[in-house]
Amino acid sequence: MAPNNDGRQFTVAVDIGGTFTDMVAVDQSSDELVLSKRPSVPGDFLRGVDAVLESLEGSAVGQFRHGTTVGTNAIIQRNGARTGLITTAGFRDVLLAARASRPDLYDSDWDPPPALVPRSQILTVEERVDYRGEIVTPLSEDSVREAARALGRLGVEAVAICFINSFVNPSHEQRALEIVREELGDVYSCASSAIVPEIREFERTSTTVVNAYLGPLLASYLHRLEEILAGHSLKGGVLVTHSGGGLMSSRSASEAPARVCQSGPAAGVMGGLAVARRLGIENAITLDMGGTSADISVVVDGAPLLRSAWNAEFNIPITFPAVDVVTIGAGGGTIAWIDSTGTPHSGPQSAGASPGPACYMLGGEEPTNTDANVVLNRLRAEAFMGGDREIPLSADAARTAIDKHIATPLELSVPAAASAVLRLSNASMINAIRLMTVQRGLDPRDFSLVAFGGAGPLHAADLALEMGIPEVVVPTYPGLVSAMGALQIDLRHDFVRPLFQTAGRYEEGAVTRAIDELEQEMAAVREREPATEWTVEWHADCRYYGQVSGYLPIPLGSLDPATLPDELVPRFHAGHEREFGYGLSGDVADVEFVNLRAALLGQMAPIALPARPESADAAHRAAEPAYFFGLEEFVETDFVARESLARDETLDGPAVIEEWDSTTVVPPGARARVVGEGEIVIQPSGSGGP
Amino acid sequence: MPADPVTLEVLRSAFRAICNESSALLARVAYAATITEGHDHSGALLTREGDLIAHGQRDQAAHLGTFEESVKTTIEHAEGFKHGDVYVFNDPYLGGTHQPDIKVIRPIFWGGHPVAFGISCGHWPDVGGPVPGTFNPHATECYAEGLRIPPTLLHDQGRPVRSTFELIRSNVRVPEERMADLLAQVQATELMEERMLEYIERFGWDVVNEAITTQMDRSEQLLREGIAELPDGVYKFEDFGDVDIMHPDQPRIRVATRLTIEGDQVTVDFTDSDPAPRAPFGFTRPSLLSAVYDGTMHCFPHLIPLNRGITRSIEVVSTPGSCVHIVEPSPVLGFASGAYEKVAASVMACWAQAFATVNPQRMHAATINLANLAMGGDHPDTGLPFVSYLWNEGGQGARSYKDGNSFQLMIFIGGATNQPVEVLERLNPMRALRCEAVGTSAGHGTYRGGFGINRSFEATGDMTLTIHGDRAEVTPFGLAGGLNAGPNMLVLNPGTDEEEDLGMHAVRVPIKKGDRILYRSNGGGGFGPPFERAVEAVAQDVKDGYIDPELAREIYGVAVREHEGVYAVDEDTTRELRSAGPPTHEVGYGPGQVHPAGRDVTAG
Repeated sequence: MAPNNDGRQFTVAVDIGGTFTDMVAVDQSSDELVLSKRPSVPGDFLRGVDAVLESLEGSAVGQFRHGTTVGTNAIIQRNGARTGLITTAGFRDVLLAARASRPDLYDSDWDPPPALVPRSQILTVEERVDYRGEIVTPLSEDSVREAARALGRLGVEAVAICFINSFVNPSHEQRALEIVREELGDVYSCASSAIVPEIREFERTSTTVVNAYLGPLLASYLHRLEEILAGHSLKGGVLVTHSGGGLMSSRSASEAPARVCQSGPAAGVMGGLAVARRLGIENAITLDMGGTSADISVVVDGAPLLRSAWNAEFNIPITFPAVDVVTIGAGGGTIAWIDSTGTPHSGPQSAGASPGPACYMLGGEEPTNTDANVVLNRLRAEAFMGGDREIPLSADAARTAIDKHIATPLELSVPAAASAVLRLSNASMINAIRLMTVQRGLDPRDFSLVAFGGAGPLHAADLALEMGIPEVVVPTYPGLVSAMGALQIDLRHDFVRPLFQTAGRYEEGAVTRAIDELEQEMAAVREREPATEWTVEWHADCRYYGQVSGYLPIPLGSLDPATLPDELVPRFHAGHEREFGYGLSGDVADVEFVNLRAALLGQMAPIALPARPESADAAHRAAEPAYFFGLEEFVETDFVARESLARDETLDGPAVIEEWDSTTVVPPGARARVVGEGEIVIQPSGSGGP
Repeated sequence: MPADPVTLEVLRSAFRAICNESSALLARVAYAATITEGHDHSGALLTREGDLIAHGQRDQAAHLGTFEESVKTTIEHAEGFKHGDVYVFNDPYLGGTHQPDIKVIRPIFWGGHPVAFGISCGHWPDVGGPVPGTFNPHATECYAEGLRIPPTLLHDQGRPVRSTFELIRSNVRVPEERMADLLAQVQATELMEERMLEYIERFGWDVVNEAITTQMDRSEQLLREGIAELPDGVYKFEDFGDVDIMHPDQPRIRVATRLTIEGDQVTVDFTDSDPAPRAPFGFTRPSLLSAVYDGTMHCFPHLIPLNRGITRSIEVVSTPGSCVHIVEPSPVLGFASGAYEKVAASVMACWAQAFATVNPQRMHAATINLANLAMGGDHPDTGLPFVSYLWNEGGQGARSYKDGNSFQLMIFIGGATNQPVEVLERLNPMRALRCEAVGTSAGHGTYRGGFGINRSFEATGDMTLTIHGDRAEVTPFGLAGGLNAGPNMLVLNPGTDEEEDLGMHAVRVPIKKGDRILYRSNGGGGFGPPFERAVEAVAQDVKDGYIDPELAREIYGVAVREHEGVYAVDEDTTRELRSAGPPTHEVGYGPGQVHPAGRDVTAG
């Protein structure tokens, strides 16, 4: 496309999901907002990027922010680089043994998903460091050279290096990396001590392997992306969203590809968080429900819950701090079915985008949530669109599917059966929300539910009513929240150093060294990232000495190694009491400081998003019957186009608010109000319950 | 009016979610590594009569069959319940598993009456007795196996009963930690009560109760339908414990299983099993039930969770005083590595015979057997005492249609994990030497068992060591001509003049700094004759470095050549080898032999 020298320059965010590629672009000088949504192109995700950028009609792209499913996808489809792993002699099976666990007690058919590196590409070298970092067996450089050459003969495209205890003494790994680079030149290689110097050999190996496995792919992906952006007159830099809910430069991303997985869902949570913040909401549950699944997360006191590690798949942990998102099989395409005893179930199987729900008429015959919503006329066949592409829906096909597979076997009317399908799907979301809240001692009744994605606002008010959640928030553009999120987050880099000091046996020098190393590492990152202002959040991971499993991150106020134990110990006792319901007295248990963590936060110039335009227009309203829980019959319902809602307007249920890529249900007794920038807040009626 | 099926399904999921939640809470809050890292814990809901409603998805199968008896015993002992009462219990002879499995039992009150029970069970690292860690492979009576607790009031109407806490505190090692574990378990049952009450408030007790009975009825219906599809008959299997270590001149300990199917009825009879040995091996009747249910559920995996509908449909016959139904004071603590694994594996082998013509996918060879290793002493770097438990992952038994997985834990444990070497080295004076599969440990076969692991280590300080395991001699069996797997092993200073095989029942062995210890686990049994294994599958195992070319040639009749790290099948030699016919495998119960009963358990 020929450049359009109209002087406009857009800050652009593009999020590639499994189904759609979304774009939000803002020109700060003219307050112009351009939105676009196109089907994703599996196998060639960048074509979707090119397609959405067409909507800018040649105007220049300033800064480009990007969330992508390319990493996650490569793991799911096992089409990353052919990867080799070099590890300590005697420890060839650390990666394959994993944690020796399995997901189900009795499932004797189960097999672990295949590892990213086959055993034939895992080679060992002579070296050993003990837990204090002292060298027990010096590195045999010859054995590294041999291993590198052997991997070369096997045609590997990437090499991961992970030695036992390298997180306390990285020297062997560093030298091995040099040798591998000498031997294999262009092959992508990385060492665990540089990626994530943290205790637990399997988790560190897994993270390093993911990094290598995605390295070549992500490098070429980002390179091509930059070529495409050059065609759209890119003026600024490229930033990538990561699993920690922050941004990093594309250069940093290509050095830590394991961080880029899960970037879309994390950005979605951050987008939901930004909406909540604008409305002054501190505690929110975010629900992003799309075609195949629902992502659920929790915001407490204005911050997302972070976990120190997450699983890209069973047995594939990635130990970078990540926004805690639970994904469950509850989406528009989730299939309802009945087992041989006549018990109905929802999911986890999904009809996906192909063949899709029965009402798509693309060959799907099994009843899905979308079909149930169509039968109940919460989704009107004529109003439903899949992004820019209109998908005609068949209400008859939906009815047939529900009738045949659910209503007839259960001897229910078709609408009652459709209602049952939705209740079952809602029940699995309720269980997941409980897992995210109640299990952590959080009461869902203290939260707002921020619902987005194509299907989130369809289900949210019913979920809120069932769980006693007092309000539902539907963002201004519920189908574009991940991309919106990318425009509202800051740079974030996370660093870690082991400490392994206890309050009782404390060596100040070790802490000083860790701080110095982290400061140096952060200084290098600061130089190449485009933030306006930097802050650092320091934490120490603490536990009672002898506790094996977890630890609590305790924030550090000062950074004085001399007073660190005095500061941490009382906070840890209090934190343990708060988190786990008990604390042990200091004379019983020593407190161990496991890791020192630094989160480097780079503030970005804020981007103001224009408010959603309003145009009260009675022509966009209609009344039709629709079916709701509790009433169990069709009642006259207002159907309102979202763009026709005026600011501060209230709407009493039953009502359905329709827009181009999402639908919001306001059940009978509930009240919706348009607030702020055009968000909708729904107060469900009635009292709470499970 | 009966509730609609959707509400019933919502509640059925809710019962499971409640148990998962309570189990997860315990794992997060407890102190004991056996719970937080070993995940040796469970959470379950039972009816007011003590019938099992549901349990957590990754719980410990060995606990699950004992819950009904535990609650029924508590009902008998308590003279009525008041709201806020909580009981603590572990007595194996009154319905418990073994002494370290501490159960906290709470009646769930609604409308002034108990309507259900919540139970939280966790394996404590120590409940007293002469040996740190309580495991005592040389005990000949339960009185040498730590504290026994009959159903005892722990909270009286919400108030902690100080005397009960003090009694426990006075009888266990590191009592502060155990008190924290006890509080965590109390919290886990409190959560179950809260959750159940929310559902009762929302749907009404009648609907909740209907959901409970309906799901039991449905489980029973599914199980009985499954059984009815199988041919009527008597299916037998026998398996053995290696030795009665306190009476080593006696023959091996025989576990004889006879499973009878008549229509939709099943009876599992153990009356031909040996009397209880003097040493720990056997278990009390509730754990026998757990093992029978465990083996059965592995053959009907879609029936998860176990509930009363299933337990009431399986008749189990046993003789008091036998090795699978011991009575006081026979020792019980080592049952998990002893009778449990033999019963569960044998029950699966009996089901395998019944499924042979109906659904061969339900046929499984035997899996790795537990071998607990406890180490203790003072850490030379810190001067602090340490106690550490190790357990190994190993091979899953081959399935009739695919290999068993390597690096799996025992069949009775769902959510457990191994322990990171880097963590162990930091806490204990040891340096790991290996984390590697052992090629000869798999039971070879058309489908081979998973590989066992070598987790050898070197002591970097003095310590004592106690092992409590089994299957060093009678190894996990193969089926249909598949070979028996390799042994569990514990050898001191292997390959030196001081080499000593410590066996599976050594107590407080002194270990010196610099000693090396070979700690190796069982693979899984094989399925089908090794000579019928696909040539490519054999070549892949060679290429992956699991087995060497000699083994491929001798056991599988496959010749694989290597050139500069690239492996290729030598087609001509392989054809020659295979046409010459398979080697003769000895018949027997040991490694690499063909199990005399297992060889006749064939598919189709």
